Amino acid sequence: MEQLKSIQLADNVNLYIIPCDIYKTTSISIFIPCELNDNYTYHALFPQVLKRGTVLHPDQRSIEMLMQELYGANFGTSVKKYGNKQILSFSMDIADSQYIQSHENLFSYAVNFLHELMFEPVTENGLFRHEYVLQEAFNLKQQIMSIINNKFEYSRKRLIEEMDSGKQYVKCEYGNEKELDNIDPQRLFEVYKDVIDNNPVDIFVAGNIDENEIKSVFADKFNFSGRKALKPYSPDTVIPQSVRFVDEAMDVKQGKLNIGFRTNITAADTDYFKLLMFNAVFGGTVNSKLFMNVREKASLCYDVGSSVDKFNGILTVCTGIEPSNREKAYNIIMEQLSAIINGDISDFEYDSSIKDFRTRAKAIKDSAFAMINFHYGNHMAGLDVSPEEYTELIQNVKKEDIPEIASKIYEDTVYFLKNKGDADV
Amino acid sequence: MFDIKKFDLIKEEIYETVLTNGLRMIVIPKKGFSKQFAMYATNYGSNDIKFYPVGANAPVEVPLGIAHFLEHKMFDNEDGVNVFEQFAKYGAQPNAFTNYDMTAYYFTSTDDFYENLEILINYVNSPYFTKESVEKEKGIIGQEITMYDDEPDWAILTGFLKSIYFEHPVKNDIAGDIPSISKITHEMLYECYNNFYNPANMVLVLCGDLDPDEALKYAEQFLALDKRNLPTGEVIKCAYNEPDAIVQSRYEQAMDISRPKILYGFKDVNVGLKGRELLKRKLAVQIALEIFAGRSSRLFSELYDAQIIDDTFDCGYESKTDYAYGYFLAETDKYEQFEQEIKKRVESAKKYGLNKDAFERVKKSFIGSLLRIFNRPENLAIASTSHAFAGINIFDYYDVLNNISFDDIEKAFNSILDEKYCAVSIIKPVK
Repeated sequence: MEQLKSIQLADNVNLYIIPCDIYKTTSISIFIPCELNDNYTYHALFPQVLKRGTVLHPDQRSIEMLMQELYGANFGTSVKKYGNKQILSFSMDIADSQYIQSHENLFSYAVNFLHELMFEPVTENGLFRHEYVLQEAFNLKQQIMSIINNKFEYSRKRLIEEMDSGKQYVKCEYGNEKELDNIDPQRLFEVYKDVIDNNPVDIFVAGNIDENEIKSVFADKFNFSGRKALKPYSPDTVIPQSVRFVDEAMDVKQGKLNIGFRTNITAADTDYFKLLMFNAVFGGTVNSKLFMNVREKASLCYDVGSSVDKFNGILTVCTGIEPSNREKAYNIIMEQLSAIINGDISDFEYDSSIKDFRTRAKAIKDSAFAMINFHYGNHMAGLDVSPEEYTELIQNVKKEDIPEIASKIYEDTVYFLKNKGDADV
Repeated sequence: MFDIKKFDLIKEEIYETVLTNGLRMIVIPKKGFSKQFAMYATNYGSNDIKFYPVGANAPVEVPLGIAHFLEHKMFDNEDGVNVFEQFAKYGAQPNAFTNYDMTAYYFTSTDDFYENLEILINYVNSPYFTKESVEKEKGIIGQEITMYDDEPDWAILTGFLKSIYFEHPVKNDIAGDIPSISKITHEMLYECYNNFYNPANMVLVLCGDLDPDEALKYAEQFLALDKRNLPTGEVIKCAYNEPDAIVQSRYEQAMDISRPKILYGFKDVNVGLKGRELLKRKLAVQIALEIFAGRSSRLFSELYDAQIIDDTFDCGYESKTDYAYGYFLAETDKYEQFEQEIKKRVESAKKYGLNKDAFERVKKSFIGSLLRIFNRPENLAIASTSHAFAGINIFDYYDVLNNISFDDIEKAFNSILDEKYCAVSIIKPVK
């Protein structure tokens, strides 16, 4: 595979091409970042409304029929949270024409449809079709409420909320459920127009398509005007004075013990790769201290691991345990952190972590969307590297760097989800 | 010598052979990929709890969840060196899974593929179970079972399967339950292992930028180190005497969730098919369901507009030789309407026929989905393992799809969703 090529289409409108002939499909993602501001519910909602219909394909059914005609093309919109930004994405995955009987050029159909989706919504009286707005506001509210159905996701989200009550990034990327009861249709359309016309745009195309074709299709069809850049996010440094303990009771069988730490390191910091190595040794792999000690030695859980948020300078440990083992699990987790601070890292733990990163980084190229998300996610966090450079930066971390980083990681909040019937443990 | 199957349109090839010890091996070369994937699997899953051990005259019955328990314990070995650690030396990522019908051990690597392959073959061929290690695992698996107990998607499916099956073990959780796993002993693990982990019952699937001849040479070399003394002969899985009828037409449970989840499904009593016949039936039913209730159907758009369903709606069909079922699933407060609407529309579609215009479109979209499997070596290898046990290969899908007619689809639709074989499973929020 060749390297990523970047082409500026206008100010803060960039096209990135990942030429690759191993995929059977062509993948396209268009990202639009928004500030996680007072309009956040509206940012989350309008892509859902856009999905309901375009001028040419005014309802879901006609869109789905088109997708089937295009050999089961996949299209979707999504909203993610990167630090204090909401990232809207519009993506499509479509068969490479050389691998289908008719050899039709499906790529141009895909780009045309993405344009329709983003710029030619079905409207009435100059606004989105009212029925679609009401239905999608209801559906989005249901989606927010359903987070509770997945106890891992819910308990992790609750931990983050507790760590940052009041801060901007605690806002849910899907919006505010109360606000969804009273959506102002005028404001929704204005927010949509403002974001789609003024926010930065990053387009990624991965597959076996001629570079000039990609360039001309996007330049002709989309004809983007220049936009202003958003202010990059740099979270405040937080050194917690004391540890907060938060308990919540629900009708569950398994307890979830989640611990949030402050690292104050993001992907834009030079210490980031040291932090990644710390995380690998601590709880990032099946050879990590948490997996070996909480699961394999003490048999306390099935699932345990730690992960780094590259935007917020937060590290979380999440595990599912028998509620009565809370104290035991907590102590073992904290002992592993102390062990690393004391320099207790074997050559095996160090070497295997490096190799684990190497394998993961090399494997990114095998998936178009993994490549796209690697580049865009890191780019938004202030890190512009190729998978090869990423591996190199990991390899530069020395064993002695890990205890040094570990000593700068502060325990902040301990969140425990327990069963309503359980005694206080 | 390999039997090579080629499909020129998509530029893919599958190499298949039987090794000296009787193990089937499949190699799928994926030129240009960085990742290599190897899967060593046995045709033995959570459903296989009653069997005639090799050479025995009487069947044995083992506790529920034993295949999955065995999978966990394969990661221990006699010299005490952790299996994860052995792979980690080469940067490979190992894992395993057990489903109703098979148990699979695998790794993903980007370097030192044959070193990793040797570790894989070697550890799966070296069982080592002790009383202590079996007891210790009960805590970990107990938490895995408890984790699934809190997942509404598992609860709703299990509730449905328990409603439609009297005898067939597919109604049980793959991991078993706490009482059943507490009965498991290391002797039982050896008995299951010795009967099901012999070369004739297993398959080795390799996928990545590999040379099949080289892969063959190494596989033979590593398997020659096999020191096991397994009984030779065939283990016979017991058939389950499953009647056509269902146990109950309704299952309800309360969980801490945001709104009700409903599954309306059917037991497919047209079972007993194998190989391409089974595949043809599966695709015909899947296409029929897609025409009837897929995202481009009238049903989907009308129920969506009426806010009875949203993007959480799904329909599907699972089929194996001895069991098959299909379902419609949604998260909705209007679950009663959901059930009525599906029933009403099934009746009407059976009376007036399915939408013929959708047939070619749905076929095209199935072809696109198949193509996507070739984007991911791990998905391709997993699919090929399951196909190998079923006696088909992935190219058969294209062939069967191309030859399927609308008449086949209508016949398939008319043979399912008979109300006397339908059941509802509902998970309601705790009040």
